[in-house]
Parts: sequence; structure tokens; C-alpha cells
Amino acid sequence: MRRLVPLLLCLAFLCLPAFAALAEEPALAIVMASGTVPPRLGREQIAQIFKHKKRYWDDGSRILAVNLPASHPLRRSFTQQIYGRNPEELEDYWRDQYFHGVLPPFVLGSEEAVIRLVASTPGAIGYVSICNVDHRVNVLLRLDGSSSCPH
Amino acid sequence: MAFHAIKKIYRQPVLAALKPALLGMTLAVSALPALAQQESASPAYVLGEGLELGHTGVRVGGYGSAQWQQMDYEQTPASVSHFSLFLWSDIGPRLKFFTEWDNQENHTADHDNEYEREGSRFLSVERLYLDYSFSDNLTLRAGKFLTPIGRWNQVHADPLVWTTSRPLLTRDLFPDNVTGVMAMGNTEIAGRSYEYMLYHSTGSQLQPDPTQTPFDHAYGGRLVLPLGDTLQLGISAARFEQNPGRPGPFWNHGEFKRLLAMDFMWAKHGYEFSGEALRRQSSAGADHSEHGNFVQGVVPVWGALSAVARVEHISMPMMKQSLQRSVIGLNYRYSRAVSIKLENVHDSGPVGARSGLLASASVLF
Repeated sequence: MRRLVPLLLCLAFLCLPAFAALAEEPALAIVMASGTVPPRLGREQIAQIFKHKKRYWDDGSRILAVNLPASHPLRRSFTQQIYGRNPEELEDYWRDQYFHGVLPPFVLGSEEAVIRLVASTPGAIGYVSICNVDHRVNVLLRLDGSSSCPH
Repeated sequence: MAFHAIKKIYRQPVLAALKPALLGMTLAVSALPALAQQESASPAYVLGEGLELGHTGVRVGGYGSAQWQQMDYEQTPASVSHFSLFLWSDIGPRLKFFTEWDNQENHTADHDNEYEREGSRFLSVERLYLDYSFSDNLTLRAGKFLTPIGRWNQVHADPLVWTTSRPLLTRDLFPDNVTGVMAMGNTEIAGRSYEYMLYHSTGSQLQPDPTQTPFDHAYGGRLVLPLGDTLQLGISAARFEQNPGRPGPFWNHGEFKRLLAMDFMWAKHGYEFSGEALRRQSSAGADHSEHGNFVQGVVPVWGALSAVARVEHISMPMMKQSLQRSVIGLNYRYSRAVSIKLENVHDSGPVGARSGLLASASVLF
């Protein structure tokens, strides 16, 4: 026990430094298909949806959350703003969930693919840059970012 | 000829223990070429996410692990292997089936192996249940499931935990699984989502693990409270009867126990600090009551390598005094699914001080 005290102090000391600075965060829009009645969602509900803790809409239909690849800047921004973490840090969570037969949200390779799937799939929800939102989707929530749309 | 040669090699304890991990990796690697031909936009197989059987909606996955240990009071090293297979399927939007079968083999002639369960080889049903979700607030589960006491037991699979050794309180004070019914769900209060579980068991067990004493009759609950993005607290309580088979010094007919446990976990940027404390009181009196606790810290060292330290304490009547354990080690998470661990375990208790080295390799496939 006595010899562990210095080790635990070291652990505490290593935890003290400030963590990595946040990268530039592009503005994000949480989207669903246009034509659907947009549910009222806050950040907590979005966090629950993308962790598969909230799986049903208020009408009882199943939610289909769609993610971008872990290396995508928007995914990183989304995860940072919603969970305060990087996508890699959520891997432990998904590893634990896998043990219970729960898989991470479906991943699509591009924002256009997200918009297409969300627009054509009832109950689907995703996120894209606010600059890429068009008539096919409704914006449920906007997450602020530091970058602006190119003119 | 070659078959016999391989069989002979596998009779070596350490290599035999590696079988499950090797088998898991082989399955994963052999699946890759066929899967590579499928659509790249939707990869069919990711190590650690299981494999869908055709387009049936049924997924198969699991983990394999090989453990090796050399304690200072043992003449020969011991090794243990696990091979665990999951099978699950969402049947429509509300119904889910899940099962886990676990095969364990101990490759050792030493019978004083306290760091792993005794028994040379057995196959057990770890979990087998059906879930029906009425809503996010209420899911009913029926079957055999992991006992919702503390956090460790919910994620005790070798690739998911930081150390090869398991905290004593999660091993000795309640069984890993329970057969019965459970209501569980998430509910939102003041903008925060809380998770609850309430269960009841009448004691019958399907293909039980022979090294564990299951509940005879139990009910209990667990509440998980998130405090911010990085910290969560858990509270578990249970009342149960547990019959080890015959009356003896540690069990009386009609004896029941009450258990209260608390756990916490803080995690950020690869750092992790967690702990559990548990008290089990017996209707047979204070000398039949036990308590224990542990705290564990994880610090990233370099890349995928992390340092782990844990301090444990457990007090049980049969020991006459407390057992203190300290664990210090390294964990290399090569990927999301592969984990290699090395640790030193030091005990000080009724039989004096003793220590040993444990190592393991595990893969989630």
C-alpha cells in the first residue's frame, strides 16, 4: 500500500495539465427529412440519440442515427460539441456497448450521402455543415462553429 | 502427422491458453477477403463489431483471451483461456435476442490458483435473454443476464477491462449473472438522462458456471447518474438468498443478504479514474457480513500504451482479517479490439505478503 502512494500521486499529477486545445469547429446542422414534424431536441437528447440511449421518437418509431467517419472534421466537431470528447475517446463506450450487442451509429462517407439517406429514410437523423443544408432536409438544431460558409 | 504435431504444441499450457485468442484472430482475418469484395461504403466486418450472418439480421461476435500467471508461491506458471461467443438479433423495432456462451479452460496442474476460477474446463451460458422495448423509458428483459451490481461486472470481458486480474469484490461477493426478469430504461430528469434497472430472480439457472453460487431468490436495482460529460455515478442494491449447496460455517438455512454498492467513473482524454465500494450484510449476523472496495487509475503513456494502477481491499469473515491487494501494470490497446496486458499483483493478508506477474492477450472479434 505504502509503495503505491507515490504512484497514485503521479497519476493525479499527470491528470492535471490542461488537455489538448479544441480544433476549429465548423458550424453544424442536425437534420431530418423535410416534411417531417421536427421534434424538439436539445444537446442532451442529441447526445442520447448518437449513443443509442434514446432509440425511439415520440410517436414510437425507431430512430436511425447516421454518423460521418471518425476522421471527418465535422464528426470531430460534432463529437466535441455534443460530448466534449474526440471520436476516439468514445471508442471505449462503443467497445462496452458491443459487449451488450449494441453497435455504433451507421457511418456514411460524405455529407451528401448523409443528406440523401436522411431525406429518404423515415426516422433518420444526421448532421452536416450548415453550408450544405438544402430543401431536402429540416434543421433541428444548429451547433455553432468558428468557420463560415464560402460565398 | 501435421495435425498431431499441432496438437502436441497446443498441449503446452501457455500455447494452449492462446488458442481462443488465435482462433478469434483467425476467424477475423479469414473473413476479410470475402468481405473486401462487398460495398466499401458499408463495410460488413469491423474487428470488434461482429459479423452479420448473410442478410438474416443475426450477428455473431465474441472475444477470445489467453491469460498467463506466475505467482511467487506457485512452482509452475498457470494459464487460462476463454472463448466467448455472442449471437444477437433485433427482431423488428422492439424485440431483441442476445446470448453469450463462454468456454473456459485452465491449463495448469496447480490447484491453488486463486486468480482465476477453479475448474479445468467448462462451457457455460453467460447470458441468454429476450428484450422487449415499450419505449426508451421501459424495456423488459427475461432470461439470464449479467447481475447489475457495480460497473465492472457489466463490462467484465477481458478485452474491455484494463487489467488481467479482476477486482476481488466483483468476483467473490455476488454471482456474475442472474436468471429472471428485469425492467430497465432511461428517464430524463432536469435535462439529464438517468439509467435504471430493477430485477427479480427465482433462482433457476441455465447451464450455470460451476464455479459460481447463483442466487436462489433475489431482487435488486441499479441507478446510473451522469454528472457532466465525463463523470458517472452508480448505486446498486439487492436482497438475495444464495445457497452454496449445503449448510456450513459460511451459510445458514434461510439466511438472506442485503447488498449496497456504489461506483463511479471519470474518463477524459485517455485518463480514467474509477472505483467501487460494496457492503454485504447477512441476516445471520455481523460476522457473516463482508465489504470491499477498489479504486483504479489509468494514464496514457505513449500511443496506445497506458499505465494502470489499482488498490483493493476486501474483508470477509472466513479470512478473519482484511486482504489488501495492489495491482500495477501496462495495457497496450493495439486497436479498438486487441488488448495486451502485463501487471504485477501484490497481496497482503492472512497468509502474509505474496505477489506475482500476470499477462494476457485478448481480442474482441
